Amino acid sequence: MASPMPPVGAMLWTWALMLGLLALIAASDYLPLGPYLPWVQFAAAAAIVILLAFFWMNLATATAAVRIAAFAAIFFLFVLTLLSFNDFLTRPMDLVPFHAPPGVPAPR
Amino acid sequence: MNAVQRARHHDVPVPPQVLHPKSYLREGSTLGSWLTTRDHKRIALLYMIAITFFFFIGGAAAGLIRLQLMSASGNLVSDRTYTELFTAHGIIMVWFFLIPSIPATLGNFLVPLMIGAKEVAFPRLNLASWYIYSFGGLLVVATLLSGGVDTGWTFYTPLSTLFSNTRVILAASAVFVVGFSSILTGLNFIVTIHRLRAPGMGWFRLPLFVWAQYTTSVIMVLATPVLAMTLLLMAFERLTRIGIFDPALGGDPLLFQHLFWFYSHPAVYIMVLPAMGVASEIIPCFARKRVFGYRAMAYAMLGIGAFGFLVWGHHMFVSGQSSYASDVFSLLSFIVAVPSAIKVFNWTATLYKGSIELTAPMLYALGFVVLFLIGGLTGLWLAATALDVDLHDTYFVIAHFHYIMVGGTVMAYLGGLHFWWPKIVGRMYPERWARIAAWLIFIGFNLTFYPQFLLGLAGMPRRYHHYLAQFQLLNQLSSTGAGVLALGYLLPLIYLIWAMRRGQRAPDNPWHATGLEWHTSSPPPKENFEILPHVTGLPYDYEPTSIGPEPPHPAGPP
Amino acid sequence: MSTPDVQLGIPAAAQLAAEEAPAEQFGTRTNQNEATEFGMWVFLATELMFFGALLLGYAYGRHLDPAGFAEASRHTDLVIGTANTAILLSSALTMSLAIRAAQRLERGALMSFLAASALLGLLFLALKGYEYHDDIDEGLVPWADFRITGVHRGAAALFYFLYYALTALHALHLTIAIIVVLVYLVRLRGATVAPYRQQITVTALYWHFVDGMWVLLYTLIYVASPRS
Repeated sequence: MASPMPPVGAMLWTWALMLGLLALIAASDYLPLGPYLPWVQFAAAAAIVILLAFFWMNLATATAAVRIAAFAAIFFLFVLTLLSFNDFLTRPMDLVPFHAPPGVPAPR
Repeated sequence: MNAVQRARHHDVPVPPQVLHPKSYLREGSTLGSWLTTRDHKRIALLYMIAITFFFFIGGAAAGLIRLQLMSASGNLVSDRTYTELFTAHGIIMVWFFLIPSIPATLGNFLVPLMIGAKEVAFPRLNLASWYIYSFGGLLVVATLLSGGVDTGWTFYTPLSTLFSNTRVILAASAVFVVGFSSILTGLNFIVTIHRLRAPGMGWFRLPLFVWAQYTTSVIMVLATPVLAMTLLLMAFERLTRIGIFDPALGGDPLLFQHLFWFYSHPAVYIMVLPAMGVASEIIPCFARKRVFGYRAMAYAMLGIGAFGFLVWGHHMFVSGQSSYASDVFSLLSFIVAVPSAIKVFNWTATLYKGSIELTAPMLYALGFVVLFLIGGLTGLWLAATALDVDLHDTYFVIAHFHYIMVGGTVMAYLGGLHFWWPKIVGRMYPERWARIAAWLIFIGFNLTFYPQFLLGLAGMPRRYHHYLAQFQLLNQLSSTGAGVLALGYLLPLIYLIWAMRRGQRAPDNPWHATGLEWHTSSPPPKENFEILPHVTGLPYDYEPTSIGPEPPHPAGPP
Repeated sequence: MSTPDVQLGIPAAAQLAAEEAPAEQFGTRTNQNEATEFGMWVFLATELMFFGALLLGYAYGRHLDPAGFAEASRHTDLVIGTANTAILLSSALTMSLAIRAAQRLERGALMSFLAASALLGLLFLALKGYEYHDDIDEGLVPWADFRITGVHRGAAALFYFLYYALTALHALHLTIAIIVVLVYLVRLRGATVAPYRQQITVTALYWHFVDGMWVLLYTLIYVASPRS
């Protein structure tokens, strides 16, 4: 109740924008985007979630504490992914005897 | 003259000889009134009973482990029973004692009192969290009675998913369930501390104990769900042979370790941050000094909480994790030592030129600082990748984390219990016995775990039910220490319960401490304060002559 | 805040007066409202981390064998997935309109929009169930006669395991959200809006989280490969 909802017209526009972005994600599979495909998709998905969170969950006008809570969750999910991938991404180049990939001679 | 005598003689009104008429303990005495209470103080006592039960169950398992290790050939229990014993010890002590210990008991009791609130934000949720904890506790008891589990407390795959034929799923569901109780406690504290502070209680007027609970709660809320999902995936994979941890299914066992330690390393800070909070209350009180570097202490806790999330990979240096990742985790682990060191320096600086009074709570708090220091410094050894390859999975690791968890958390928990016991039950504990127990615990603890550092350096691996004959003397010393430690733990159990009925009546503020919790009666009324406090100054105003940036007197009528 | 509740004939001021009794620890109604909303946000943070473990598993699998994940994604039903996303986004709209109606104490509009949201949620679940049925028919269950074979079998199996885990977890959340909305629909019969305004706002936060999570899952599951 902290902040009033936007007017109906604005909500309908937001909804239309979300459906447009959804159409973009769905169509992206058929567009010649090459390596940019996931980037376009995730940008569009993020835009939908941002619209949802900022205007319909009132994050735009929320108290600082609420914003910190939302930010903290996303940040620590990012940390989980980042530091785990720090392992996954460097493991193939890590030629130590106890986990050399098959076919690669272990360094002495 | 000690604080009790001082309370008895002058400068404090003689406490009434009857229980305060509005004491929360008087709001109904039936079992039903306790089991349906929404009062955070009563829920704290419910938690206290439950975790004390599990502490002694887990302690009994540890006792059997130490008895087994009295002789190198190890013939008291079978190898399988031994494995189940240390697994039960780990699971019970970590999730059913250490994680809820200070937050759910002292935290539940004190956070609303310290911030000048009438209740926690969501009292029903608070009671629900105790019931969830108790349900998890029933599951873990069921695990023990139905034959135990042998995976170690870490549930590593593929041992837990493919090879173990013990009660893995039952044990994992116990941990899964109890996780939600700590999530709810954390959620409650976060909202309480954000929204229910008394007028004038700004963030930097909060006692450090509250800062500690806040940081701990954030870790509980953000890390525990990851563990819950990980255990769910593990149990599912065990049941159906489908999942993301088995390489034959396209998965990776290290994924389990990443997810597990993403919770379980921050969980160490869930255990030790509240202990730091307790020490930060006791030390200024009995050194009669303002805590040194208050803001640095608060920021250090936040720093430990945040950096605690970034270091989990140091448990995986020999797991097959990329060595580049290990380097990063190693560096980050060294960084987390900085705020921890700030805290130790600041406690020490608080003592400097203080008028120190070695009461029982102070003995526990000083013991905490010493043991935490040793535990923390040996943690740096283990964070060094090259050294860890040698020390990993030896008794050095066991000694290191027991110095943090038992030497740190349990010492502080007991110190806090003594310090606030007059507030909780309205009666003093017997000071002489309490000091004897504090010394017994300190000596017994070091006798138990210091030899384990030496054993680890000599190469004795953990989790073995027998060992080479050359390790026998040190193991026997350690087991002897465990006996002393057990005696030390039994003493407070006896005399604190005795003090509930027979102890000397406690005045409202027996220690002349400054926190808001001391500005209400002992025990407090149900609504905590007869007149809601209005805070006008900094905490830890133990030096009335000093001129701080803000005027003293933290509490008074509005 | 000005429109009176015509159905029950109780003026707005009287309704608001009935609401103005906060729990004692909060002091004021505003504090209680903001604290409850904040509590829900903290809970949503927990929820995000709960999904997080599965999301990391997905990221790991897709990183390990992108082609396998693309292959597996091509077998999903893009039409149902997209339709379901549109349905949930529409339910988010009706839920937002419901909050607006609650804030304006318009009981009739509130109940209609809540009912619409619940119906859209149920429609989503029905379509999801139909999709599961199709998946089983087409041999897309990794533990029972899996259709995808060859070098990408392992990654595809991982993909489908995560698909079932994530969508089932999401469906569970949506089911809870629908039940809560239905409970409020029942409670609102013959009652004034004001005492429920806060609870409905908080429920809507949860509903929106479930919707937003689905948009993410949709992007991960249905469109992970070029189809042209």
